[in-house]
Amino acid sequence: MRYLSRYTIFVPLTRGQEYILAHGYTGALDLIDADLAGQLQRWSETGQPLPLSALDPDTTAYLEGRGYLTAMTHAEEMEFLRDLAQDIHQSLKTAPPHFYIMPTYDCQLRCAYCFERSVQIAAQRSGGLSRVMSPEVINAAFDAIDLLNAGKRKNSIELYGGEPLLRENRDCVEAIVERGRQRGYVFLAATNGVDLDAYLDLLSLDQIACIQVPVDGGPTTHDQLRRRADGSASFTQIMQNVRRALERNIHIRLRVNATQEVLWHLDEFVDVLKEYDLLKYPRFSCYFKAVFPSTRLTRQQQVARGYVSDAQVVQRIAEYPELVSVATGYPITNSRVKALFESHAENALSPIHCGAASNIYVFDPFGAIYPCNNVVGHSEQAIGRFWPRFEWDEQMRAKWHQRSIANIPKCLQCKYALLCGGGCLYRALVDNEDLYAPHCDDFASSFAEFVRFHFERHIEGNTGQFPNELEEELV
Amino acid sequence: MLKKLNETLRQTHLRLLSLEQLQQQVDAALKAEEVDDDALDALIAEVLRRLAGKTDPNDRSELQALAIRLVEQKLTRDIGLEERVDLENLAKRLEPRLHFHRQIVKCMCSVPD
Repeated sequence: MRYLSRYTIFVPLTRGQEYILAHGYTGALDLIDADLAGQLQRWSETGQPLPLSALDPDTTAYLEGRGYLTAMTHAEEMEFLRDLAQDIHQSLKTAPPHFYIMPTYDCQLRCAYCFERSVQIAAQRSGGLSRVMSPEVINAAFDAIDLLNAGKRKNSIELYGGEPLLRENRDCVEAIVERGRQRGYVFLAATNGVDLDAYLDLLSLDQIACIQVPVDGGPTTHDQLRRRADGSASFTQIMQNVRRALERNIHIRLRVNATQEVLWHLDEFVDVLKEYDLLKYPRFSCYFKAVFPSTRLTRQQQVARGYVSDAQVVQRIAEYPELVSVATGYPITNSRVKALFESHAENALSPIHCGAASNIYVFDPFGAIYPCNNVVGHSEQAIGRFWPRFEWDEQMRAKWHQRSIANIPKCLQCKYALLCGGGCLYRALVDNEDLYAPHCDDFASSFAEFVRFHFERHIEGNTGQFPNELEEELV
Repeated sequence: MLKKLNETLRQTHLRLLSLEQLQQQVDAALKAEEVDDDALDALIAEVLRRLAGKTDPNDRSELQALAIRLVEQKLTRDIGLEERVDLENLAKRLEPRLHFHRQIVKCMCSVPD
């Protein structure tokens, strides 16, 4: 007796009468015609075993070998998935950690949608906003890194903020980079780029090797949303600094925060890439991420306020040949779908959304350890401290690091479970006040758009060289 | 029309195989001229996973036989010997150097921790 697997995904292609058949726990991708897709879809709705005469023996054997047909009932498949998810999560926990160091919470910009703004305001009131990581705290951070990474391969360390590369914090950043270098680490930085000119000599492949600079499209939209504390514009200075940094031959990735307005003005952003001649640099790339609210909003409210989905973003990128060669959509989904097409399903199927549920450690300037860069400053989410002494909050640590699809019942029923990993933990908290609530967002439509996007490249033999391994760590 | 676009997750693929299919995979892996270390590790992990779970007693001896063949190959390669390792003899002679080997030896020979 054979059933159609409940984890079978149908992605209609826009051209012709073809579908991509995908499988949620084997990672299979197959091109099929509309007749077979229709036949299988009709069975998927019944949940009944397939009649033996329904398909020819070769097709049956092929589909079974790829996971689409199974002898397991739906309930047995869910148990199979839970077991697989637990094993993969366990192995992810033993992988080398990802470390973030925050020199400060302070920032010279006042972006309209900044999720750290409430934290910065509270810190300003308590006099802590301008606090910079002291030498003693830096030493303690590296002691913690040595402890947590003992015997493991060294990933890069990410400088994060606030704004990590403020002009006035140069001594602090230099000290952090030097201590890291002595241990064999290279650095990434998530910087707004405004003061990047003060750090040019630290930009090299053995120091700060990769930076990510957020922009809000071209100057029209960017200068409305990303203004300095004094209200002045920032776009021109940032782009000039990006050019200078590219001349240092490091990896630079623009993160384009996408809203409805940014997508409307996408022509202008493409013009900027040309004007600054960014496409000539082999280590330049960019990705688009739909801006999401940091407070709970209904879907209608989100649309009214100009929020867009990741699926809409990928659709728009695909319309611009200039962008297709250097830009992607949301990196986590993009990397996973790309890995499927490259036959690296081990990099695509994960029971967790990101390292926040396994091995991310964010060190803040006050000595707290956070599991996710989106919750920094929210002390109730800290999983421990590295200064003045090292200690875990075991309860919080377990809460974050045990979250996987294996213990979210709704996810275990979902065909996309191992592809989305239960969704963003931070957004589950914001929307549901429950870390263990799934955060589905628009994953199904987003996955379909990414599959179509990469299928086109796959058949053209243009899989792209980006993002590289270093850039993929910078999300 | 059916056109394969990629390879599936090895870990899942092995879990879905029947014992007979798994034996065929082991045969193929051990006969291959160029031994794929990742494939060998994945096969060992899968055989050990099955042995550690609820297993039909009839399947158990088959799985143990598979494990011995795989582990002999693995140890022979890891230690760099020219002749195939005799596992039983080796287990007596070697203090397991790696956690992985310790797990294997524990599982196969019931060596206490």
